[in-house]
Amino acid sequence: MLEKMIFGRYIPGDSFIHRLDARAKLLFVFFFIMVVFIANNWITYGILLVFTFLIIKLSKIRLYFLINGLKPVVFLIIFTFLLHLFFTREGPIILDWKFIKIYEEGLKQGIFISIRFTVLVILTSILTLTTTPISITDALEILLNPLKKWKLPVHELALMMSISLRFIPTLMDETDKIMKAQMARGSDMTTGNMKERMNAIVPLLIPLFVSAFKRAEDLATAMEVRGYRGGEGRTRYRKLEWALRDTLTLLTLVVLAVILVYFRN
Amino acid sequence: MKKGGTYQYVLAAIGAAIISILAQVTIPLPLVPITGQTLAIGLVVTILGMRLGVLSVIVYILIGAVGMPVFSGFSGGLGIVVGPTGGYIIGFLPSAILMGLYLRKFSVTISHAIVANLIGMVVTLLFGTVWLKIIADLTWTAAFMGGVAPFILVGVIKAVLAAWFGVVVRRRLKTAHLVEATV
Repeated sequence: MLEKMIFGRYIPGDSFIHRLDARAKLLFVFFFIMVVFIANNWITYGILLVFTFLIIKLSKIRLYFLINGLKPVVFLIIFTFLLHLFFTREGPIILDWKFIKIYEEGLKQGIFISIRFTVLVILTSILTLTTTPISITDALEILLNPLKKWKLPVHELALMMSISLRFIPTLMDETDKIMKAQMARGSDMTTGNMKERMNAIVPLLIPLFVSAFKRAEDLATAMEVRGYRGGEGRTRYRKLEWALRDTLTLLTLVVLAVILVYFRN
Repeated sequence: MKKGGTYQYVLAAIGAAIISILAQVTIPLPLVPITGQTLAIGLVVTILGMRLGVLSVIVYILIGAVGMPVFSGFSGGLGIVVGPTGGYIIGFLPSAILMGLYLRKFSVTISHAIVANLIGMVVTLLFGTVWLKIIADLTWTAAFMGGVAPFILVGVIKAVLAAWFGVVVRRRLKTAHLVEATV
């Protein structure tokens, strides 16, 4: 369990995409999600596929990792494809077998939506595969900074994300220890009726929460005695740098949007 | 025991870490094994209450979005949040808020916690289905068949479990003076 989680999904590398500023990548993905909805026919979906393929090439990420990232959604993509296939009833019938009727529009919509999902998932996966969670957190904090005016605790959110990221492995270790400790005391979660099993879970949850509260107290005290007083006037150890390539990358998105609008129905 | 802002924030962060871990746990039951994600959200909101519970859920969604594989089945990344099932994940937020508000208005007893968790489940399913309908261009019937129907029974079981675990654990933490009496 620990190995699967400890590194996040970041794959270190030195491609053009890896070197882009995290803010640029975040903005890019954000606007790309909207641009995808412009596509509505074979040409525009084709353009999206080619565009995505180019980005995959630029990121130099092994296809294996991308396919791995697609795995959790493949089932859903197939599922929505089937839903469209059977529930969209427009256009001429192309298959009529017993009680199954498949319409042309259903098949077409199914394919389009599948492409839309695949492209969205691949592009967003590339963001998280080429950027560390910590730089995305930093980028989010900077991008959301204007929202502070409306009392959104942007700095605190970013801080909580960093703390949370840091504590997942620790707490996972702890959960493991608690489970072993309770097993050594004779607790058994895998046999007995439903009530017995549920009762065996309580002695796992309580120590976990108690230790969480204790750790929170320790960390908060440690932060406060070192003079932590919130985000006001705080300087950064990790700096993000915006370069020309970041601006250019965002511009390609504008070009893509214009092309899509031109070719759409 | 009144503690300052830093403590609250750190606690919410650790709450998010707990959700992340419990979301990966599967309780082996005969017939339907129960997976942790919605259960973990209900549990943490029931225990931490309105403010901290909601903050934990926000942080959980965000660390999942930035790429930590914390969503069910070790998935993570923005792709999951904008993907077909993203609505359920976004829906955790309003569902946590409503659960928190309900528990704040009434006391945290098992029956109230069950109602709160059921409300949470309905809201999560609602968001998930609306999102599924929009992003996949489905009809309402199709979205309902795919997005709600399969999850109702397991959802109710999970809501009851989350409420029961939450209240039991909360009671113990209260005796240890770790959580305050009001949420």
